[in-house]
Amino acid sequence: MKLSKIIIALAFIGYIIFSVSSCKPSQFITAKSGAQLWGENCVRCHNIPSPNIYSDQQWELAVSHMRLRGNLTKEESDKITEFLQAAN
Amino acid sequence: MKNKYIFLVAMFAVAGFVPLAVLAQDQSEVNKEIEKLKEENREQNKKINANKPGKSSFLFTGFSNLTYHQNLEDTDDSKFAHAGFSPITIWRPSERLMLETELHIEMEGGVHGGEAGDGHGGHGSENEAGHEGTTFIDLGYANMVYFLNDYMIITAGKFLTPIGTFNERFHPSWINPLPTSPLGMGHGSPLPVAELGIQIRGGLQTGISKLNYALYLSNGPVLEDGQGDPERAGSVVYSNFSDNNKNKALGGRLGWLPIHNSSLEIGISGQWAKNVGDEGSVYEKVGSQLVVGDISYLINSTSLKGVIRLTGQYSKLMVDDALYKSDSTDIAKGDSEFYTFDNTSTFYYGLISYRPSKSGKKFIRNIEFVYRYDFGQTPADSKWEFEDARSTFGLNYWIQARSAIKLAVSIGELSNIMYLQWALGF
Repeated sequence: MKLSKIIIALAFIGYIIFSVSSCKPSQFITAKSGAQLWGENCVRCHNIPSPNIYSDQQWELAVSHMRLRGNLTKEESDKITEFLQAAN
Repeated sequence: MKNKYIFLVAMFAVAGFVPLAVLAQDQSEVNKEIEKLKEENREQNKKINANKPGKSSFLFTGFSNLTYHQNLEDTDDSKFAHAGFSPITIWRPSERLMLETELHIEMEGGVHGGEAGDGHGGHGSENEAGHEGTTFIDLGYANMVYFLNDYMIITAGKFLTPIGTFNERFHPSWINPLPTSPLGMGHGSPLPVAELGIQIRGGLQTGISKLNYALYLSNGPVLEDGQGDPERAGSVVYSNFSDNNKNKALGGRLGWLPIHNSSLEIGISGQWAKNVGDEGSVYEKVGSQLVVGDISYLINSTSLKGVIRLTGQYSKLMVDDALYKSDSTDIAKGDSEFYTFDNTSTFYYGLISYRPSKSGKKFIRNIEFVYRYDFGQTPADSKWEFEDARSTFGLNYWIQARSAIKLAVSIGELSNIMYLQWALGF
């Protein structure tokens, strides 16, 4: 039982190391728009509020806060901020 | 004839002088007007500059709620049990620096310590909110943040413990789809909520999948050895921010999102504290380990005309065995002077919610159906032994994206309670 747990844990860690070392963001991922990333990421935890609830400056702060809380990547948070600032 | 010329010259002179004099007078008035306008312009610029935003920026946000509680087994036990206001401030003085704070200002009606509201859940533990009509103010977090690079963020201060996902992401009442927190989670509960220390974290894209991580060093938990409160002997307290020994706790979480649209996240997290007992006491070498697994999956379905959200978390807290002193009453009854127990606590929950957000009718779009099963068990044979399993059914109506009226019925082994909550994020 203990051995199987260790094997599962090692396999999981190994997969993650493989993922990190062998893959850079695919073109499919980098081509995603801010609107798409906004729809995909924010709804994971909560409803999506209207972009017009905040000003451009406020969205910068709100998305920075979300980058920290929701572990968004830098590229995701930049694109989402740009989208919200254009759509508010 | 000569007089005629003189007259004509005089006439021309007068005719020329008068307009010149008038022009000179007009020019003077124009100059005065220009000066006046310049002065007004300077005043306007001063006013504009007074309100000109600097490089630093500030956001005031947060959430609030009011919860009504009806004990289904005791009709007399009905009350507005909890009111909370949790302002969040975010200040960003430069591109790389940020400060985030959250304050909890809460009033509890009592019954079960902090059972509703902003993650102040947790049967089986006493907390400061569990007294009748207590109002308290608590610093949820005060976190200084430095965005080091694209892949790493450094934080220092009091931060939400990155153990599992409920604590960090789902605790605000406008996000949590039910009025209560799962067993074991929330302020005053056996699992950590906020830690004082330093942390590094970040997220990175790896092919189509994503990874995120958090690693922190904190004061860690403190063992209640029974000297102060014999009824809590063997429990660990995470909300105690005074460090009782030199050892620091190491913790963290690793999250993996294997699907390109980030709909699935699997996480493992834990905290290890080598020493949780008071330095110099017989409990100094007692350690604790917390291991947590979490999963969340979001299905955005056109055929089901809505969104299905699945979340779950399993937590196991293990504290090294130790001998605790029996109280005099137990000794008088014939118990031995010291007792021990397997100091392991287990908490888990699974939640499913469905919101028909793609329905053609607005009223239907705003409805959400929720079900959660949660379980909590603290060590058998301890003085704070507790076990409960609950099924909670919820029906929410979303007034806006960040405001909901939530009706929930919780059927548990210990109590059956109906809740009505209005949660508002702002």
